[in-house]
Amino acid sequence: MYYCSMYSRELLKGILKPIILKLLSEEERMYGYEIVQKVKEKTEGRILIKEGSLYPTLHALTKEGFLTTESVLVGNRTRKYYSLTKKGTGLVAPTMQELSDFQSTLSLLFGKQKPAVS
Amino acid sequence: MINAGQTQQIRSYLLQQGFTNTELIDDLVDHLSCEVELLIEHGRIDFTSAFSTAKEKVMPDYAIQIENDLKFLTTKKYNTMIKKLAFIGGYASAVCLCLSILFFSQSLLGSKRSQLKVEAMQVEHYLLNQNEDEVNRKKLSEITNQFYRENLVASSEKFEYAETFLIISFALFAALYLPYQFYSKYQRSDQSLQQA
Repeated sequence: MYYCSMYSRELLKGILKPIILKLLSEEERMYGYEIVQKVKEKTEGRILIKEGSLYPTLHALTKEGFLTTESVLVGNRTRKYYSLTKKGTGLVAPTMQELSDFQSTLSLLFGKQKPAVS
Repeated sequence: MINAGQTQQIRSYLLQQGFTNTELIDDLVDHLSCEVELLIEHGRIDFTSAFSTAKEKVMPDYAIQIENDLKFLTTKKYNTMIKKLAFIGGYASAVCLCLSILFFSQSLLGSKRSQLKVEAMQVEHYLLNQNEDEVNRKKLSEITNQFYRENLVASSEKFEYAETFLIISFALFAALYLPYQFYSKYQRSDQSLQQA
């Protein structure tokens, strides 16, 4: 319902948080639409994040203190830019490490050697 | 870039769908606006058609689900912790109340039992010693008094336990369960106020 991609929702469930953290660690700040477009571009359209899951996750991460927002008036609407806080920056490395370990574990089961996330 | 009236139209659509979270509305207005602008630019269509396509593309079938998911994600952990505490408190309070009732009834039954036992001892003694003398009477009195004292101490101890458990039960109920009930009622009334 919330993800449209070549992968099933079950596979993508739980990966959104690491995706957001990774993107925001690479870019200084991003707004919601930009995140969706960036993921689409980077994955060559294989993962399309739906807004129904993006914004609740962004708000949850903000409430937990991992992200901070900055509102900018663009034309006649407010655009909210999300960026990592110090606490959020500290979360990036362990999250990436966890994901990498998970990939290695999966490769033990399924035999794929090439890591999908770097 | 879309104009102020068109932005307002997007905002009105979201309000119409039941969105109340202003932060989320700002995000979605910007998101839908970006999508609409892209469609107008690339598809060379008017705002109405672009907005209609953007709504289909961006919003789930049940749009307000986004806000419901947001509430779930941002409040669930906190509420679960409070709920757990409240239920543990409520359970512990009920257990203490049961123990208190048990000890209280034990105390009452104990004193009543000792009273009946003394009476039975006296009747038995009188039946066995029809021509009783002063010595026998004194002996019986000592035995019954001793028995009374022992049972009184035991009953009093049980009564104290009952009192302690009753206090603990009330304290747990007042400190954990009642605040949760007030908190959840306050939250519900707060939400209905916001929606009104």
